[in-house]
Amino acid sequence: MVDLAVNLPGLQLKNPIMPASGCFGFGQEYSQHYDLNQLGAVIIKAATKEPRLGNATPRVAETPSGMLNAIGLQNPGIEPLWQRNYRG
Amino acid sequence: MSVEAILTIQHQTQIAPNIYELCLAGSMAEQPVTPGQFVDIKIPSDALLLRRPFGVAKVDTQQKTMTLLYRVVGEGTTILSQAPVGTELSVLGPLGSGYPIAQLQSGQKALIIGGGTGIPPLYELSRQLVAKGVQVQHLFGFATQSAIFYQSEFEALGPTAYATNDGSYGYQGHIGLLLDAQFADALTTYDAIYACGPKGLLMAVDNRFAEHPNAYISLEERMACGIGACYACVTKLRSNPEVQLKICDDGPVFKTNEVLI
Repeated sequence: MVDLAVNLPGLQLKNPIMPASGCFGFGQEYSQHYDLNQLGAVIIKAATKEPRLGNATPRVAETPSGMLNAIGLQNPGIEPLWQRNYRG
Repeated sequence: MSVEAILTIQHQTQIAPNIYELCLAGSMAEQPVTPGQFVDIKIPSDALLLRRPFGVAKVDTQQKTMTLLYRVVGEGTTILSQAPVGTELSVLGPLGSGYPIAQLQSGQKALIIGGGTGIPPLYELSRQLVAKGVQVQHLFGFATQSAIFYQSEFEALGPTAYATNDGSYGYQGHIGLLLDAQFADALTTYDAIYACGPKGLLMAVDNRFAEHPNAYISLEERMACGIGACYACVTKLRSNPEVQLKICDDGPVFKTNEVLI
């Protein structure tokens, strides 16, 4: 098997495959659709110190061959996110 | 567990003005859906990035077919309506929570309330309830008589009352008025209430059956991913508006009085 491991300064990844921020939720949303262990890392949606409710709906609009979105950085805040999703 | 699969258009028919019945064949239809679940379809056009959500109107696990009923409202559904038999479509599903029905027993009564293109998933719901021996009463709202679809199909499952905005068929007025006029005792008569339709209908049902222990509404919202990752389709929890639920993933079915409509 080809070794795809990469070393970013201070971060050893088994491969360089990382879904872009905003496209992959906070990671666990895709766990029933995709084996997250195949990824080198997950770039999560933006997380802020304080919780944010985000914008009112509608939050997305389609454009030719693309889309615009304005979710408004909805997130539960860094600490709850860490405790709920990533802590050991 | 939802999957992405290729389903093939087996037939497609216009059954009312701008309303199409689309029958898809493929492995996804080998398993039953929870009524109220939806599928996300990639429209066969490079210009249209986002999948379109459609409530599942019927699954025939023997024939391995899935039937969708939809209204042509824009470019995506126009392209879909013109897709010929044999077209292969990328379908993600089944998605969402669906209506709970396990709590009902044979002989109990369910009131099924729908409006316009919110009605399709209620057909699979009614089929599954009738298969359990539940007595169903349908209550449907349309703009006018010519817009009515699946009349004989629903009436084969149980009595069906209609309201039309112009009074051309059934009761004249919206569903809320029909509920008050002819189903005023529904809160205590029916063991379960299920609804899907436009926001006004959902609000009417939510208001009247807020205290019913088995009443459910299905919400619509503009979606992007369909699986809860993008946070595009959210609604606020009624008891704590600081909490937002994702309609595609936590819903689209919620208990009455659970979310802000």
